Amino acid sequence: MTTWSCMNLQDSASPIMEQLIFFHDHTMMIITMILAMVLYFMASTIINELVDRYMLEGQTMELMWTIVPAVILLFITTPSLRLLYLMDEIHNPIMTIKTIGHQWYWSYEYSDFVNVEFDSYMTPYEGDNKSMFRLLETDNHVTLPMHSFIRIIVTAADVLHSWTIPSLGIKADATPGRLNQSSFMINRPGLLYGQCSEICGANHSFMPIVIESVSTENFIEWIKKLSE
Amino acid sequence: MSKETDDVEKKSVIIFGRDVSTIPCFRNSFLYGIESGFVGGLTYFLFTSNTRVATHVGFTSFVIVTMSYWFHCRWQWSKEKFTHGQLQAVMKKHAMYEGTDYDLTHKGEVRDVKNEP
Repeated sequence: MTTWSCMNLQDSASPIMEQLIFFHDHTMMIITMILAMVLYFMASTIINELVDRYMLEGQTMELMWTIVPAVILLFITTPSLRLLYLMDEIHNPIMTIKTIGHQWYWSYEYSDFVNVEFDSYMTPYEGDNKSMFRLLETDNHVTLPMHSFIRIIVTAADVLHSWTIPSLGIKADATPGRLNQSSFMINRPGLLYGQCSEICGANHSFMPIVIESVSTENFIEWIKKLSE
Repeated sequence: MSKETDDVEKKSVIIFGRDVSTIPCFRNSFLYGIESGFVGGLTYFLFTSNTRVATHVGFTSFVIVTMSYWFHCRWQWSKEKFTHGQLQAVMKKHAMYEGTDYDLTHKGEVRDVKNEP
């Protein structure tokens, strides 16, 4: 989860997010060098005392500043498109969960199992309880098995919402009357936090999401308890 | 190309909350870039005594060397990472199938070598 003054991406919890972080680093390096070049050009122009009153064009210069950015964009586009199509691949999900956004909570349905549905409300913050995260904790966690490919179908019951887990690199809009599909694989155990990412009314900031990633055995035990 | 698994212990360098020393190829790219910019600019100045152009040469070589090393290193690193991932998957499968009928190495199996086809 995000802590104070964290301006970066969260540590990845899925292979896709890991690839997104690598792409971010790659693109950030290119952007940083472009910024350095532009600042250098600006500084050179400011301190330059030479003037050419009759300069109207510079064919070579214009050719360079057309071709070089195109080449730079190619170096950005190639990994970007690769990642875009990688994110859309589906590798035989072992289960499907449905997420429905409401004002102002999320409800989850594990339709592959019998009678496994629950709502997830934000846990109100207790000022003296230092062990909970303000505005991020929920009463029921979405428990999922790790190292398993999972499909999630997101929709909403009333207004637009958005189901987001930054550490998985997922953001899926919850639109009433529409089913949006996403998929992911969690590669480590733990708690993954997210928040609603589409303005949906007064308590838009107070409908978080918590995924609890557990081993397959623990997940089966949890499902058994819930199904009873 | 120098490997990213250096023996030198990398100090953590935090920029906007991110430890950039953990980014593969970052440290070496900037090291080589800054060195080449400094050397290139200084060499040009030593031969021509033209400070303005020497600065341009230094900066240009910094940008070109940094970007070239970065692209080359990241490409090699991503190929290596893919190979490592394949190797890990194979090792996992091998550990899972060891001793079963799917074990291709036939480890622990008692075999009649003389009568084998």
